[in-house]
Formats: sequence, structure tokens, C-alpha cells
Amino acid sequence: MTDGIRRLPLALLLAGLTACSQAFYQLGEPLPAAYERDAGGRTLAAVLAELGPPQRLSATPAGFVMGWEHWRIAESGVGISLGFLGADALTVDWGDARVDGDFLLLSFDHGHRVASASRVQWDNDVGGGAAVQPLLGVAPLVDVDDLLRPLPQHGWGASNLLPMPAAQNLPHRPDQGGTGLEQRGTPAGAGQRALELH
Amino acid sequence: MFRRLQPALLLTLVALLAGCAQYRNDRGVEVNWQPSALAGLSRGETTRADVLARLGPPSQVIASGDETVLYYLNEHAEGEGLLLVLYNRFEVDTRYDRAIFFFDADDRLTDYSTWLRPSDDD
Repeated sequence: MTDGIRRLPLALLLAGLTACSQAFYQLGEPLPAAYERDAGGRTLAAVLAELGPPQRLSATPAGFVMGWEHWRIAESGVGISLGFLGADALTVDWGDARVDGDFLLLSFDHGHRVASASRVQWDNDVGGGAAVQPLLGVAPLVDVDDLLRPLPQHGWGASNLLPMPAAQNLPHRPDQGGTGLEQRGTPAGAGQRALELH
Repeated sequence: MFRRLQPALLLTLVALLAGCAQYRNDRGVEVNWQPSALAGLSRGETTRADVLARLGPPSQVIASGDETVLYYLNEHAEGEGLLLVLYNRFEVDTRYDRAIFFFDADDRLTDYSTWLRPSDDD
């Protein structure tokens, strides 16, 4: 038997013991650089022509507030079995998530002029962890599901069927188009959504 | 003999254990705001009823004072994955086809805008 054939089981063993996964998400389109700097006073028509319709929109007592966003999210994970150390039942797992986000918020008065503009851009590590787990990695170490949710417009009608605490909060919920808006990934445990008892 | 078979064995193994995946997901209203469908829209003349007749019910209707807004949204996600023995990789790209129309107190169109993701042919 050749060396190659003898090494084959070892290669198979290593392949079965180690795994790496990566997931990349992009949401929306890139926004123009420094748009917020000279946005003040622009007309709604001009803004819509340059940026297209916003992804997020709400009426306000003073007019409208609109949000445009672009996200890049990367999620990585590595798992290694400790079988080669004699601990067949254990795996070591590592995970990490990074977010590159860009969110532009413009408010318009009733005359359809930009009243204020603000923007946040960030490139952050938003989570990660390491674990020793039995057999399979049953506990997720990174979770970006809250950043990947569909835009709230899709749940506009169905939101009336939410559990009672959430349904009662609907008139004030910041994704219904009438009481402001919120950024993607905003925690629900504080602020107006805290009343929904998540 | 075995040395000759080794690459074939490895190739067979990789072929058996590798995989790929494709993913597509659409949410929202049907995208029917192509430029041809909006020809003839005119600020100050087109009414809300005209737009509703062309595009159907919107994703959202929003009111601010005397104004109303019709907002149409289709969320399109495309993904592909590579599943190898040692390494898995997924990429998902989500784009938002959308259209927005503003109407004054008389239900006349004041502003509007649309966005369509570039087609694969572009």
C-alpha cells in the first residue's frame, strides 16, 4: 500500500473533524458619498430623483421622515472536533460577525424641503464567541437574524394579528409609517417597543 | 496502481461530498412600475385613483396632514452557496424594488419616484 493511500483515511478524518462556514449578505444599494452635507433645503423631487424611493418612511407632525440604507453583513464560523485529543464527544466552535452599515435619514417639511439630514456609517464587529460543545455545535455563537429581517412594510397588515402586547402597541410602533421609523437591528427591549414585552 | 487511483479517489470523494445551493426569495407587491407603465404620469394632473388603477394596491398608505403617500415595495433576495468538505460559503444579495407617490389634499400627484434593480442583462 502506498503512502498516499495510507494518508487518505487521515485526510478524510481531518475533513470530517474540521469545518468552516462563511455567509455574506448585502441589503440595498450603496448611497452617494457625503450626500447629507449639502442636503439641506433640497426639494423632495430632487432627493427622490437622486436617491430613489426610501426604504423606510413615516409621516411626522412636521411632514415626513425617510431613511435609505445599505448593509453588508459577514458571518463566519469554525468548528473543530477534539477527537484527535481523545475527546470524541467535544467540539470547539468559534464565530464572528461584522457589519458595514450606512444609514441616511432625511426629514422633510410640509413644503417638501429637506429640514434636516443625518447619516451614520460604521464598520463594526457586532458579535462573536467561542464554545466547547458536545458532539455538535448546538448553541449558535453568532446571530445576525435581526439584521436580516424583511422591511416592515411587508408585515403592515399582519401586524394586527401580533400577540396582544405588540398589537396594543401598534399605534405607536415605529414601523407602521405613522409614528417615526427605526434603524435595522434596533433592540426591542428598550424604548417604545419595550411595551411589547419581547 | 494505487498511486494512479489516488487522484481519482479524491476527485470522487470531493464530488460526492461537495454541493451547491441557489436561493431566491421575493416578498411584496408585484413589480409593475416599469417606465413604460408610468408613461403619462403628470404632476398636478394624475390622480391617486389613476395610480391605483395602474399599479394596484400599495404596500403602504401613509398620511401626513392633507397629504397621502402610496408606497410600493418588492424585496428580492438572491443567494448562492458553495458546500465543500471543509468550507461552506453563502452569499445573499437583497435589493428593494420600490415606488413612491405623493398626493396633495385634492388627490393630485405632487411627487413620485421609482427604483428597479438592474436586470441581469444590464
